Amino acid sequence: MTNGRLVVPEGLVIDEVARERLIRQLERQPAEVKGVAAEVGALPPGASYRVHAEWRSLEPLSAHIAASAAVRGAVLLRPKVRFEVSDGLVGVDGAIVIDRGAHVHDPWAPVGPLLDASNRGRPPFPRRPVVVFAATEIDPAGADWARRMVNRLVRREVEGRLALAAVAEGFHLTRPCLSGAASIRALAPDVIVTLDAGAAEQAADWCRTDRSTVLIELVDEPAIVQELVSWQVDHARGRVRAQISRRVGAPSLARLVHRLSAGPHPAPPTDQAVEAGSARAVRENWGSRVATRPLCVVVTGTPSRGAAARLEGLVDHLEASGVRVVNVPVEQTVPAGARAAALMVLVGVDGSAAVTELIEERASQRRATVLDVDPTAVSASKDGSSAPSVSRVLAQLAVECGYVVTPTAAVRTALRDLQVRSLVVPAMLTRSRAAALRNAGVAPGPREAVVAGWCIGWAGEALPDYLDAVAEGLAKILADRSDVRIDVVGDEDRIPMPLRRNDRVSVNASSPEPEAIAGWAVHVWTPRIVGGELVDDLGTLIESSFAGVPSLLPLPARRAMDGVAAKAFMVSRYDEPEGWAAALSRLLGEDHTRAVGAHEARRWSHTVHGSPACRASVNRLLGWAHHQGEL
Amino acid sequence: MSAALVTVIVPVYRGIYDLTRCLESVALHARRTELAFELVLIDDRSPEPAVRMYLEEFASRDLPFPVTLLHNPENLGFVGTVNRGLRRASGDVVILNADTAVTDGWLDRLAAAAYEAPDVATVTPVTSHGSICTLPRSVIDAFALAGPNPQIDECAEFVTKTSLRLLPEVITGVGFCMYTTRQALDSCGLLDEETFGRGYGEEVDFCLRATRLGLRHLVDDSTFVYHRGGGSFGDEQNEGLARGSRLLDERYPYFRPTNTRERAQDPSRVSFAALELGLRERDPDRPHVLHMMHSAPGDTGGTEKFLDALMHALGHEFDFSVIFPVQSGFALQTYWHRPDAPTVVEEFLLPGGPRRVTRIDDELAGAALQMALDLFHFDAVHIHNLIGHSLAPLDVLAGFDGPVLCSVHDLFLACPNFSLLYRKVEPCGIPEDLSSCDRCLETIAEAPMPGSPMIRNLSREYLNEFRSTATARIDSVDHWVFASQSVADYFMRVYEPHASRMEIIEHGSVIRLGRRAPEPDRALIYDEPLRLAFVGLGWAKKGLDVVNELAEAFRDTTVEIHHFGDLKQAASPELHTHGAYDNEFLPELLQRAGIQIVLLPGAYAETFGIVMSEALASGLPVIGARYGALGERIRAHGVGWTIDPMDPSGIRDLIERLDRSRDEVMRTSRRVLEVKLETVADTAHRYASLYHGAESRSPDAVVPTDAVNSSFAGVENA
Repeated sequence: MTNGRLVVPEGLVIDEVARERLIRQLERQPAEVKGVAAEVGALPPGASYRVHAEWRSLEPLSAHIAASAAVRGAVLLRPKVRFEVSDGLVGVDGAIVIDRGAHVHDPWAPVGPLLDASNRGRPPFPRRPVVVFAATEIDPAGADWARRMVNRLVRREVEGRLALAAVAEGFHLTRPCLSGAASIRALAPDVIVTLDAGAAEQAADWCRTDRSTVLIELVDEPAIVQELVSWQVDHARGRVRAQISRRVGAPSLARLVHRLSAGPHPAPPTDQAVEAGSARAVRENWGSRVATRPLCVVVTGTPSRGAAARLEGLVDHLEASGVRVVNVPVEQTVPAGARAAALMVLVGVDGSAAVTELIEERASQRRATVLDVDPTAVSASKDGSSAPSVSRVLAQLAVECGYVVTPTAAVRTALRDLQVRSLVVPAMLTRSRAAALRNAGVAPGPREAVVAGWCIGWAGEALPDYLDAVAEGLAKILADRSDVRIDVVGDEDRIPMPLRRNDRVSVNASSPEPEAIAGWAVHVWTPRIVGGELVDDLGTLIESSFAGVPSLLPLPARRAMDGVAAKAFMVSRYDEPEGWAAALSRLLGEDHTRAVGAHEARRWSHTVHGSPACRASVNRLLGWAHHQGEL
Repeated sequence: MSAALVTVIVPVYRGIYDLTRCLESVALHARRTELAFELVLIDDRSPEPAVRMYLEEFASRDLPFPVTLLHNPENLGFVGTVNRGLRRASGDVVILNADTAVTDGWLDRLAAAAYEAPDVATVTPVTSHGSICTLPRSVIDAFALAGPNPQIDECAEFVTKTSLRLLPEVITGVGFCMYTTRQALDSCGLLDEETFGRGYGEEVDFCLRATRLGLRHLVDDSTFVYHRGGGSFGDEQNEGLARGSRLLDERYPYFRPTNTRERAQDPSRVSFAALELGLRERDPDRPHVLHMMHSAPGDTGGTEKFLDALMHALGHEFDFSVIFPVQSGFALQTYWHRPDAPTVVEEFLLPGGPRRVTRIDDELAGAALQMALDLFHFDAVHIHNLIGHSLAPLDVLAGFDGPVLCSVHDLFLACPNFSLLYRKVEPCGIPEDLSSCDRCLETIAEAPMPGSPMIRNLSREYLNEFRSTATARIDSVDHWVFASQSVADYFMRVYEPHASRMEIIEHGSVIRLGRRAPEPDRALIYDEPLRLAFVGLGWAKKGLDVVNELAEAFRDTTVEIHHFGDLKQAASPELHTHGAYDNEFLPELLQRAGIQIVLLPGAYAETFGIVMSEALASGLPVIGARYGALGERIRAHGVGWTIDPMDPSGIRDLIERLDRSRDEVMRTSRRVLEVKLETVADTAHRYASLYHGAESRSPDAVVPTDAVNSSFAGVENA
């Protein structure tokens, strides 16, 4: 908790679950609410304070009510809000709300009558083992030992419980329950510690329907502190797995409980489950899925070349996933039917009154309008931090939409303070382009020279600030090796000076054919890097990888390949010409390294950017846009 | 041997790179050459200024041998240039092309070969490119001699060390590096410059003239000199070769058929075979471990992945072989490491029966293992799985001298139905009551679980005999290794090996680590539909039935159930199936699909849970059975939630609660990121120490039932 003060009157206990919930609840409240409170409540029989807090946390955050100025419980206050604690009540100077989903426990409260355990005694999020200390006879000393041991176990992430004939008053982190089959059925413990002979005798019957529950016997033998009882076939004693005496320590007992909880079932299997299992059949109604095809409307303005390529890939994979896609230029009026599409994506669109009206109309129908933000829109922040940022106009449009998709995490960084939901959707190749590249890469044509491919992009796209270093490095390679050619992809007038008028530098002003890419010995990938973050889509990297061409890339971009790229393909001194020249020279001289790199590139692209992965991205996009999550 | 200096003649025309490599190699290895020699460099009016400059610089150095640099006033061609050098020489001569690189001890050994007999005219070393002296392809590949970065010195060391030094006799020497005795030079004179002009064929002519005089030509199969080839005279090569060949045919009509016969018979074949065998020879100083597997290395199962990672991690220290059953017996595959050379992977077929082994104690399986132990020296044996081997190997290994390890990857030794799923459905827990086993084994005998052998006579009697045989041989294994406490506890339901023989070594991750984000993705957890991924083979043992049921149950909700992996059985249309995946990229695929939780609902009691490790490596919490290794690991680290796989409605309730409580998902995801993960390489040293015969108990030794009291000696008082 960073911006608030949690007031817990002495003697009360609050769990981490409730604390975290109060923080989130306070974040949601308007400024006039000075604090949120968790009231003291009673535990269900057989529950621990932690388990009860977990059950209560299932209430939605909207489950809160206004409170009077004093609350019996814990209160999370905004900074500098005045309060006082008196007689266990917290009084606050200002409005507070009570979160019905947050619980505070009074461990000193009277236990009350012993009842059968509630089903809510078991954790809603089962993880910690449940161990019940059971007794059928009244033994005050024994009950007090069990009470202390249960409290200690609860603190050690073991859900200790008391199921007794009579309870010992005192400090309780759980609410004891009545011993017997009903309580054991409700709690379904992993382990039962039988505290007396009656419990030892009856325990196996209590847990008859549960095959996995094991027993630990409490014994009064000086030689025993904690001892396993052999469970070897022909030597085992039913469900009994260990014996302990009261000299056992809580840490040791916790370890023992953990161990026994993972061991083999002590009770044999039955045919009931087998028969129930064989009755299961898989539904074969495949037709229902294609009956309703969602509609996606893409509103396009003037997307960059990269954005247009990404859009083409996205549309292809949306259609492959059964989504109908309608493309509407922004200057046209979106037809009425399309305005209610399940998903609307704005690509290359600037703000305008018509667009704003469209977004508002859809928002009122709780339909998502998603803005695609291209990496070209990202620049270094002007506040001196050099962190990625976007223009104010674009940020405004993003806020209006409330939903942003982008191929680079840098956009998320740029928008993080704007309460905008954003999703990184990696660039996708159309299925036909991917197939053509894959085919070209399988059987590349004869290579007359060693060709390095380099995409420098087209007009309107920002250039990486280390471009000149790359160009000088490549020029050095050309000077050193007469067998090397550079194939530049992009506008001719963007070619840096060191590579101009070189007859071994060719320029490809359009997207290269798959065969041309497959003919490269290596691809030099030079994405933009802003504030240490990669600000580019992976389109060219994916294309070359599909064609089985390894890429040489600047070190900060290594995450783009999920860490697969080997050291030989990284340029650590990427802002120095020597860095590129040395790395490229080494690579061009190492056929084996390039071959391994080509294999890895193929693996990476086929697996992480193949059709199934793209379908997963589309599914994620649709689910994300429809999900009414919390900000 | 002539008392005069040996003259090494290097004619130079072009190729600064080759020339530099050649002369630097001569200079480097001269320091350890005992024979006195002089170097005569003859610049045949090279058109490259860099060549001339380098020659001047080299000749001016202070070297441990005299260097004479001559410049031809006009281009004489190769033969004329060599003859100019020969005229200066007074002793033996080596004609060395400028695109060669000599190696350690080259000249001493060539000279020694030349005086093995009194009638030797020439000696040629073996090389990377030199007619009949060219090394076998496998050796060229092993040392990358055809590539841009040949491992010249490594190859030379290998050749010298491995060679039989048979000095095979050939019809003619080869001119790239030809040691020529003074006797031959005095008898035959110079190269025939007039006939062979600019080169190609002149050394053959010289050798054949020497042969006519009763002299012989040898190959020094213990000396390697690198020759790039085709570089000295550039594009004129083809034309020159054709002309030289024609002239030789005219002068020596018998040469071509003799040469053809020689190539067919290959006088160097024994020498070269020795080198090829040498490539595959195991270094006897490296310890050798035999792994016993149920399937071929490289298959897709968890044990195979683990073994692959373990061998990779320990490859620098150990040689490995793997024995596994095949259709016609047993195969033994080697993984022998060689410094600076590819690992030797050879497969040997060992005898066996016509069918896969299903008997309890199969003599042929025992014999196959015994043969493997007899054929190769092993320092340790590591059993991973005895399926397909029977229990006979345990009997054979009782007499094995080194340490025997058995990793309990599955509970085959407890029951041939090693999934321990009663009638393929419910976890049996290894019941006391063998009437349950009778019913179960009857089902399994009719149709075994996929991957299990078909054993027709499965019954309570078979099981009893199987267990009593294993019990009798339990001490053949020195170290029982378990990946979790839980699998040890399952194992102890049937066997109780001595406590000092039991160890827990957790499997490390078989995929790369370090790909988890430092923080859980808040937007993914709070702003997207709840997505769970069932990962692994899609079949009942791993919980496909339950997954299908869940997918149907969540049909009209926002909760999504995904499957990554091969489907072996029918899947619900509501399941988002992704198909088989490349293991290494699983974290990226899960992230791409927006998965928040990995669901492992198999009723099978996992012995470790490799998929769980992959989930944790991806930063994702796990839902898994409350028993077995999944339950143990989930509870130990708080990295997920435990379920009863036989209770789909309970699992559904849990998922619904998680959908409502993203805070819980967030908290648990944070705990996942706190778990320190290890790779197989991180844990491999513990296996290494066991292979070396370490007897000391590790800190993770299993607490046996009879030793609990001592391990809890320092109890805290309540």
